[in-house]
Amino acid sequence: MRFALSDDQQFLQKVTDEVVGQALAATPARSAATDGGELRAALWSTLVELDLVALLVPVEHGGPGGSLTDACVVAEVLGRHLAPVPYVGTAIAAAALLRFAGGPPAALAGLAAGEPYSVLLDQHLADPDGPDGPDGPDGPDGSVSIAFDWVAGARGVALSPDGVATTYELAAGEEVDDVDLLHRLRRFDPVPAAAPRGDDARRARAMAWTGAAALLTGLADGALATATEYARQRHQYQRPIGSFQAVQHLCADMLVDVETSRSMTYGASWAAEHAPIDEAMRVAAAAKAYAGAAAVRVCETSIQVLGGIGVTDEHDAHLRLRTAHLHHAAFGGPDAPMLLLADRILEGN
Amino acid sequence: MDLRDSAEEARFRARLRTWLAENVPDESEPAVLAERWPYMRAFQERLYRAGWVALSYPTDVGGQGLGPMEEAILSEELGRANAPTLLPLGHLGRPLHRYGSEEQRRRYLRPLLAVEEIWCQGFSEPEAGSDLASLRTRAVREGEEWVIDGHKIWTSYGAFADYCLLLARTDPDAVRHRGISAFIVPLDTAGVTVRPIVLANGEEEFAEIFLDGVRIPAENMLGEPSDGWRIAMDVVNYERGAVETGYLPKFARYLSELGEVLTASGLGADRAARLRLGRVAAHLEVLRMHCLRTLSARVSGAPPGPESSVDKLLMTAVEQELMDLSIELVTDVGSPGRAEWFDRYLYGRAGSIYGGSAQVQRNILAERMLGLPRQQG
Ligand SMILES: Cc1cc2nc3c(=O)[nH]c(=O)nc-3n(C[C@H](O)[C@H](O)[C@H](O)COP(=O)(O)OP(=O)(O)OC[C@H]3O[C@@H](n4cnc5c(N)ncnc54)[C@H](O)[C@@H]3O)c2cc1C
Repeated sequence: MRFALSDDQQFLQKVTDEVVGQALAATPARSAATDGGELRAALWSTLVELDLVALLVPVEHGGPGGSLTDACVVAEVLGRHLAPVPYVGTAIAAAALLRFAGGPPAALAGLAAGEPYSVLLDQHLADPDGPDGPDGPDGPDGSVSIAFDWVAGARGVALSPDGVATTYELAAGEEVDDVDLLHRLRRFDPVPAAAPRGDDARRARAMAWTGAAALLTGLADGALATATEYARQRHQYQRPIGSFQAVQHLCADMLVDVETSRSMTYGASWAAEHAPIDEAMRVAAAAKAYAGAAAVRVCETSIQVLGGIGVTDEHDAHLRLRTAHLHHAAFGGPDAPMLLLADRILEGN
Repeated sequence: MDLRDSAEEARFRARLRTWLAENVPDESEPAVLAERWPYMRAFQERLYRAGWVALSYPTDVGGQGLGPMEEAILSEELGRANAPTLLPLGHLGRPLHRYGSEEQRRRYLRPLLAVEEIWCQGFSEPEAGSDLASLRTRAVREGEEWVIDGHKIWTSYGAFADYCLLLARTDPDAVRHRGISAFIVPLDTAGVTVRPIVLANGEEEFAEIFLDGVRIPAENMLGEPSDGWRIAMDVVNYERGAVETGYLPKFARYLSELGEVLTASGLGADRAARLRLGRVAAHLEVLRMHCLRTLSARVSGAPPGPESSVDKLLMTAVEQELMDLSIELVTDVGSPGRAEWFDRYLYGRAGSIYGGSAQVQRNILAERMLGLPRQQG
């Protein structure tokens, strides 16, 4: 047993951090909200060139054969920088679904080459026939219509009612005006779909949950860094606000949330890929539930430390909080992982 | 990252699991400390004789010469086997091992690890709690002896203990934490009075210790003069982890008991109750993973530092959340389980006080981990 990133993974972390940091220093992440997809596309092709998008694609389909931990390292860095790319949606959730639930090999190869794929969810970002997916205005129970983390030209991926990952050409569709300004949702004609039930589809779900947890951990880490840096510089009452104990304790609580989310996420990044499926689901559920709630908390606290500037449109703090909320809800709704964990305990009795 | 057991770890786990299956007592843990203490102690003595505790201490001082990962396996398997809780004293061997002379290590460590001799931690005083460095207990050198006068309080298991690791001021002229030394005080020495203090849950778990002209041999100093502060910080850093204190399996047991309570009270299908249970389950999983990460970092041999305050705050949060849930679920007034859960709940309130209060842990994280500017008076 060894809980630690390898030297290669630390290198991957460093390189990703440099590349993404430079790109977003030149063009701020927020511009993706209004630039018609330009920054998103440019950053995406950088990630494709570095073979970071294909990490979960097996070697025989043109990928580098990386691990989920590798992909989580990348997702965490992207979260920290608030990078407006569909990494969790495409490179982790869609890739895992295509790979484990019998998706067409050509789709995996295409994804490895940089073609975007969006996972299709219902209007609660939940499973089509899960406990959180009652009939809605978008279609009957048992169908999905929302492309998660959508980019122009993306194809949709969903589990067909018989449990096979199926791809869909998406007609025009319409933009969904939702909370996250950097990760888009788009509504299309509903297609029939099922919740993950078979072991392979559940494996894909465990990976999607863990990938989201990694992004959420990065989002929280970035919020903590912003807050502590500000707390050192901003003076009131002739001293740095970071010397006030009340502010210090807000920052300390953020640190606890970030470090513990990190522990949970990387533990899950191993378990979701390698552990027996029931354990994989349990650990990934804990990661998703915990890192989601923690990221929302930390992004809110960061705004508090920033004071007035923190609630302006001009500051990135709200973009972070928005992205945290969307990913906390993704892939089954925010409650699904906790209900799964509870039912495990109750079944044990 | 590899959370699989190595071949050696797997063999270790399998042997341990077999041993536990045959040796975990059938009768469950007594609720009252006076009965629970001998029960826990007897089990731990057997565990030690069979070679399953003190795993990461070297063999020449009575340990097993294994690593931190075996400690993690032990913790997991004890939980799985629903074994008695270990005495939360494992961290007190660490300073003896690190700072003790050859002679002291040989004399004291093995009996401590074997729980043949019980130790306690005499740091806090009535006027020195969070501000430990203001402690007033004094030790004065007279020939080949130290003469100690003072008053310790909140000493866990003080009434059960044979020895106390005691902090006392040896240099009254040095500023605060610089003039403090650590001593090994046999509690049967003349001039020592131990008086139990009753916790809110009715148990005499801690005690106060009065020291009145207590004479101990000069060789009973641990480390060098004025090493006391360093030694104390080492102790609390270990004390702040959930593995060293053996609490992880205890919490896992509480969680599965709460699952039973939920089912019995007909709330098994109630969405709000399931969400609460699931949230606590996630938190416990976080504690387990965080412990694995902490222990892996320790494989290199580095002792824990200020980051242990994250472990402590996490451990406290998990315990208090578990206990809060029990109070919400066990609402049937007068039912036999309710008073017992309430006592556990009361005990859980101590989690954010002992080993440095939650506020002190946050001060440490803010200044030592995040590098925020020092608080001004
Ligand atoms: C169950 C239990 C077991 C214990 N076992 C032992 C033991 O074995 N050996 C031992 O030596 N001690 C032991 N202690 C004592 C423990 O370490 C102290 O209780 C603790 O350090 C707090 O000190 P205090 O009780 O004097 O509270 P105080 O220090 O008086 O604190 C009171 C309140 O003020 C807050 N406060 C104090 N200073 C600050 C600050 N700088 N910033 C913000 N808030 C602050 C605290 O957080 C707390 O809320 C035990 C305590 C308990 C509850």
